[in-house]
Amino acid sequence: MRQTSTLGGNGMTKQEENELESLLMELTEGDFSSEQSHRLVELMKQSPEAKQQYLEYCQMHTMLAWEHGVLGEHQLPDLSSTPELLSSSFRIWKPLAMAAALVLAGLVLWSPWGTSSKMKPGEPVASLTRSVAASLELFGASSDFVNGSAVRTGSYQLDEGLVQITFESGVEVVIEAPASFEIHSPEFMILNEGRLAANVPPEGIGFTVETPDAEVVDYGTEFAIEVVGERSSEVHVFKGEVEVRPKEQDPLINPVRLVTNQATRINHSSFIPLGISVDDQRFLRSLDEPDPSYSGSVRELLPLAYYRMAVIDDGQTLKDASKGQKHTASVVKGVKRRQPFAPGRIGSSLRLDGPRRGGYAQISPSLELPTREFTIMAWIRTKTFPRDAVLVSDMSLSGDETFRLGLVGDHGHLGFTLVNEERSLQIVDSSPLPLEDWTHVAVVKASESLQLYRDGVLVSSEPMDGFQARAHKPFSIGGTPKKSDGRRRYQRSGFWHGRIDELAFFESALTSEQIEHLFNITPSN
Amino acid sequence: MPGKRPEPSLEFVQLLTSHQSRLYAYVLSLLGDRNQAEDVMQETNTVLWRKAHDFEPGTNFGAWMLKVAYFQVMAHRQKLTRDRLVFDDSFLHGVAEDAEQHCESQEEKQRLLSDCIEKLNERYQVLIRRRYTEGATLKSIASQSGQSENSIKQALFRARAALIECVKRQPSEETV
Repeated sequence: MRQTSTLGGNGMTKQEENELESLLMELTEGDFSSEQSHRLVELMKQSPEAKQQYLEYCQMHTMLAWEHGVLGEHQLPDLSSTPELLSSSFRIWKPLAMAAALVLAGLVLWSPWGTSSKMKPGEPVASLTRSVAASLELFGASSDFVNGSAVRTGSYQLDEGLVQITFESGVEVVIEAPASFEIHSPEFMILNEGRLAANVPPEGIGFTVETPDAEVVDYGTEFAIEVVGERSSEVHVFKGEVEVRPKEQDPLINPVRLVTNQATRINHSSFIPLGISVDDQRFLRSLDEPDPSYSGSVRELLPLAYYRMAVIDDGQTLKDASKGQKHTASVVKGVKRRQPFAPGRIGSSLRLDGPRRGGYAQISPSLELPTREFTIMAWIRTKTFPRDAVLVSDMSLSGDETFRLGLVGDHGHLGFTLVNEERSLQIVDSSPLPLEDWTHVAVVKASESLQLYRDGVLVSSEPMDGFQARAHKPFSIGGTPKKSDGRRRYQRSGFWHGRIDELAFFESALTSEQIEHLFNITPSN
Repeated sequence: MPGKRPEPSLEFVQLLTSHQSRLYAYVLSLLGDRNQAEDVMQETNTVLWRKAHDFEPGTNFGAWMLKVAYFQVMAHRQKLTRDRLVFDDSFLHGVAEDAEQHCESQEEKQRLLSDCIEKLNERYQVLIRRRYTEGATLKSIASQSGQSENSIKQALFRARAALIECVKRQPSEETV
């Protein structure tokens, strides 16, 4: 068949039209290579129609981005200096309202006035050892950061993701977006905003982090700092000792000494240290999955799939740590992009933000549990109890569901439901889950009964009574795929708000001894 | 000169915000690269903000803005190595004029866009929302819907083509 000579009505052959189409798609969706761009230019030089199509296409892409509010998050100047303008026109005028909303939401961290006072980039003093879905920028330099990149002294802005920076002295810091910081030397840095966790080996003693409120000098330890704008700084010590010197104001205020499991907050208004409880669930301190005892025992039971929720650099893959390793899951981002990993029960965990953001993860359809026997087990943590929040479900886009582990109702009762053509079978834990604490859960389908375990203890059981389970559809974690119907986007239900860790699927019914054992060997926090 | 700059007027802020879509379209057309376009857009906004008081109310904001943007594009291109330039200089001049003309109707088209989206069939609507509201990649849309990446690609292209036609066809009197 000859298709190359078929001219469309626009001076291009059918083949060229197709080529233009795929080049344009690459431009907005893919990685546009230089070869492709040269070809695009050629086509446009040959045919004015191609140029016209190119312009229309670029225009439509930008209009769609604008229409959906995607455009403008980072492009608009800081309008916060004109608050009266914002308030007077907030309701009247959509784009301005959007700009105002961005300012109010604190998304516009960049100000055109501030740039001149930034320090100039200097010598390399550290290297970027991990970068997880990160957007890191060094002021005054074109910055293309990859793992292994040299980190120079200078002013940095981290808008998305998290980075691990290792200094020459061996000091390791993990910084989580949104953050702004300055690196001045291998021993000294300033954190203006954001979360930082530091691990300081003996060679790095004396490493100092300054915040708008205090100077934190380390004496060989693991500690973390959170700076909330110009309002307050918190310092948490997990191991070792640090000295916190409140900033100036009154030279008579003595420094605070913090040792293991102590924390303090310094407010910008008073500079008097306020003792608070140490929070080991806020800061990602290590990007590795430690503790082989729990994971090793899980693996011995030959799970079909095992999501340890290890931090992966792309910020969206959940690796399958089972022997086969073939059922990868991936995070489907919610409304706002944020890297999805947080401190877990062991290592890191998957953090989900509930109905407001609507994020969840989709497991590869290759994962199939047998209908006769299986076990699902995980460490979970709740921030709130969203109505009917899902841990694991097989709901499809059309709304069909035969399988759901998650909250039942509004008050934190964990339940498991199976549905077949005729009826449903449900077990529910009669006492609610705790809020903001880790719980070990397991649901077991044996041939004769359904069982629910909590912290190693059987809490609910139901006979199968002849119930025939149906084959399930692909699983999702922490939420279900929803049709993106704009009108109903505020009615999202079923999204988990909290964390999920060490999620394992087995093709057999684990015994109560096995489950109790796994609960017991999990190291204490 | 006093040290503190006076604040830009409400009118200026409104003009700047309402022309963002046009600015992005223009800069993207000239650069042919999304990331570069976003950088230049940000740089242009900084310059516009700083020069707010050079703008005479009542004159053509769009034309003034695109002139500033054009110089920012040129400045940006100087910083790049040759291999990262999508267009050569002579071609760029040609595109720049066309792009400027083309963008003139952008705010009007933008107003028609939401109606046009409503007119798409449901599959296209879902696709557009997933791509733009959720920032989903072709890959994730494909894996979720169980369709091939290629068919999602084609569908997305057709959805955009339908929208391009629709905003062209709509009578402009509808907008008040």
